[in-house]
Amino acid sequence: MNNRTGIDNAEPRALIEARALTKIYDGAPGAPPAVSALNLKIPAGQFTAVMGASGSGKSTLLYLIAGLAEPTGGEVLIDGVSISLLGDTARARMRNTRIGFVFQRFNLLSFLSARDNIDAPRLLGWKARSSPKSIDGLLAAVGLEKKRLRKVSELSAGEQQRVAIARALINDPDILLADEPTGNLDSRNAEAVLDLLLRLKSDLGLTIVMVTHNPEVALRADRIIQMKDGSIERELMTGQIEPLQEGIQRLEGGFPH
Amino acid sequence: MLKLMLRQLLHHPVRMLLSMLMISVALLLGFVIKGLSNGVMQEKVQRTQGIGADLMIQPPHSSYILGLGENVMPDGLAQKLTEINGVEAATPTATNVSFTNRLEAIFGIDLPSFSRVTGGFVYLQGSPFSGPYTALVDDVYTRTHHVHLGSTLNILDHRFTVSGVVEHGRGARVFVPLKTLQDLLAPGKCAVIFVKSAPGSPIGEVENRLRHFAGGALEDYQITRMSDLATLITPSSFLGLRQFLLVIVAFAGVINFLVIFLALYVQVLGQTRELGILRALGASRRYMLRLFVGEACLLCLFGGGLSLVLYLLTRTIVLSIYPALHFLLPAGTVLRVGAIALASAVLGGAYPAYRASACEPITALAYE
Repeated sequence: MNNRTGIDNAEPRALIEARALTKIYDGAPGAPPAVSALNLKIPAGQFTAVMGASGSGKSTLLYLIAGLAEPTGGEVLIDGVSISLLGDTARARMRNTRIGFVFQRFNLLSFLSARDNIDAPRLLGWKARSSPKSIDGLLAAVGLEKKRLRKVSELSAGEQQRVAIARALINDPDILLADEPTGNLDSRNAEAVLDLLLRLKSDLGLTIVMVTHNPEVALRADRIIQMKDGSIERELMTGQIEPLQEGIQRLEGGFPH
Repeated sequence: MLKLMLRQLLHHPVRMLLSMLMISVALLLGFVIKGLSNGVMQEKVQRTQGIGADLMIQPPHSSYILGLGENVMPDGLAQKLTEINGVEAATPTATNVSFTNRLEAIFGIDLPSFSRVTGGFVYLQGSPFSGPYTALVDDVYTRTHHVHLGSTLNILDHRFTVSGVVEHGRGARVFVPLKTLQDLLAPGKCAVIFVKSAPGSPIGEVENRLRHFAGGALEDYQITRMSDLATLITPSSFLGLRQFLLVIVAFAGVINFLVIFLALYVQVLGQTRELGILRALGASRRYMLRLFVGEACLLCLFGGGLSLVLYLLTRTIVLSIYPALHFLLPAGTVLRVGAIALASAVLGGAYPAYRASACEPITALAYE
C-alpha cells in the first residue's frame, strides 16, 4: 500500500480518492451531514454514475471532488494530491487544469458568445490561450461550429449543454465531473449528450463522474454508485448486469445486496 | 483577463456609459478649472513678458499680477534709472483694474519711453494718443468687447475715445496716457517701472546695480527678472486659488470613487451566479480581486479618456464665446489628476472586488 496515495498495488491506480470524506453545511446545527465519512476510489478512465434520492449527497460529493466545497472532515485526492489541503490558488489551478465540470443548469456566462464561453477557462490564465483552431475543433466536435458567435441565451438547452461540455474539455482535463448533465434536456438531446460523453471517454480516456437520477443513463456508465444519507449504500459494475432491461428494473427496484 | 473585463463591462452598456459619463464629468470639472487658471496665468505671463523689458521694479510686497499693485512710486525715478550703466531704457507705468464688464488691467503709459522699452506698438488701426482722454486697445479687446476705432470707453467714470487699435501682447489690453491716469489716481506716481538693459549688458549685473542705486534707495523695492515671471505667477499668486483647485480635484476623486464603487457593487450583486461560474472554472480569489480592481481601473481610464474629449469640446465652445480666455492643460497635470482618479478607482473597486473574491462558488452557483 502506498501511504500517500492509498493505492493498493494490486488495484488499478485511483485517479480520484475520497478518504473519510465528510461535509456538514454551515448554518444547519444538528443537521445530518450531506456527505458522511465516505470512502471512494475511482481509477483513471472509469465512467462512474452516482445515483440516489434528492439530498443523498450526490452533488455535494461532486463539489468536494472538484474542490468547490471544503470538506468538514476527511480529504479528496486527485492523482495522489490532496485537493482539500491545497490553498485557494493552487486548488483553483487544479480545478482549471485537471478537472472539467458540467452542470445541470449549464452555468454558461451570459455575457459571452458560445465560442468565448468555451474559451473562458483559458481566459483565467492558468494555461496558455487556446488557438482558434482548438476552439473550433471543439465546436465541431459538439456540432456547434455554425453557432459559435451566438450569445448562449440564443441557443437551445441541448446546445447550451454541448457548449458547457466543450468548455469543460478546453483545458484537456483528466477528469470530467457532470452534475445531472441531461437533467434539463429532452430525451433526444439527453441521448446526444450522453453519446458525446461516452465518445469522449473512449477517445480521450477521460475519467467521468456523473450524477444522474435516470437509471437508463446510469447504465451507460462502467460503474454505478448508489448514495443514501451522504454515504455509499451500494455499488456495482454495469458489466455484471445483462440484459439492459433487467438492469433498469433492478436499479429502479433497488440494488442487489 | 482584459477580454473578460471588457465583456463584463460591455454586458451592461448603459450602466457602463453612465458610469463613464459621471466619471468624466467629475474629471472634466477639474480639467477645465485647472486648464483655465493655468491658461489665463500663462497668457498673463506671456503678455507681460511681451513688453520686452528685462526687469521690472515694483514697490515692496506688490503682486506680480500687474494691475493689482498700488501707484506709489515716483515716476521720475524711471528717468534717473536710465543713467545707470547698462540700462538702455526705463518706463514708468501706472496701473488700474477696470471692473466694468470684465476684470481688465489698464496701463497708464508714457508712450515715448514705453516705445523705447517695447520697441513700439504695431498699429492695426488708427494712431497713438491724440489727446489726454484717448485710449489704445489691442485687437483681442476689440473682439471681446465689440469696440472699434472711435468707440468710447468708461474708465474711472471718465470717457476715453479709442484712437488706435494695436497688436496684442504688450502687457495690457487697454492703454491710456500716463499723466491722465495719474491725475485720476495718484498724481506723479506709478505702480511699476519696466527696465530694458543695454545690448551686451548681463541682466544680473544690471539688477545688481539697480539694487545699489543711490546708496541702496531701491533696496526694499521688488526687482523682478521678467524671465522669472513664469515661475512667479502661479495659482499661489492668487489667494486661495491653489486651495480651491485642490478641493476641486479632491471632489473629482471622491465622485470617481463613489461612481466606481456603486457601479461595481451593483455588478457584483447582479452577477452573483456568474461569479460562482468563474470560481468553478478555476478563478482564484486573487484572480477575482484583480478582475474587479482591473475593471475599476478600466472604467476610470475610459471615463478619463472621455473627460479629455469633453475638455477639448468645452474649450472650443468657451473660446468661441470668450476669445480672450486661454486654456493650458500640461501633460503633467493630466497625469497627476489621472493618478488621483486611478487611485480613487482602485479604492472604489476594492470592496466590490473583495465581495466578489469572497463569494463561495457553491453558494453563488445556487443563486437565482
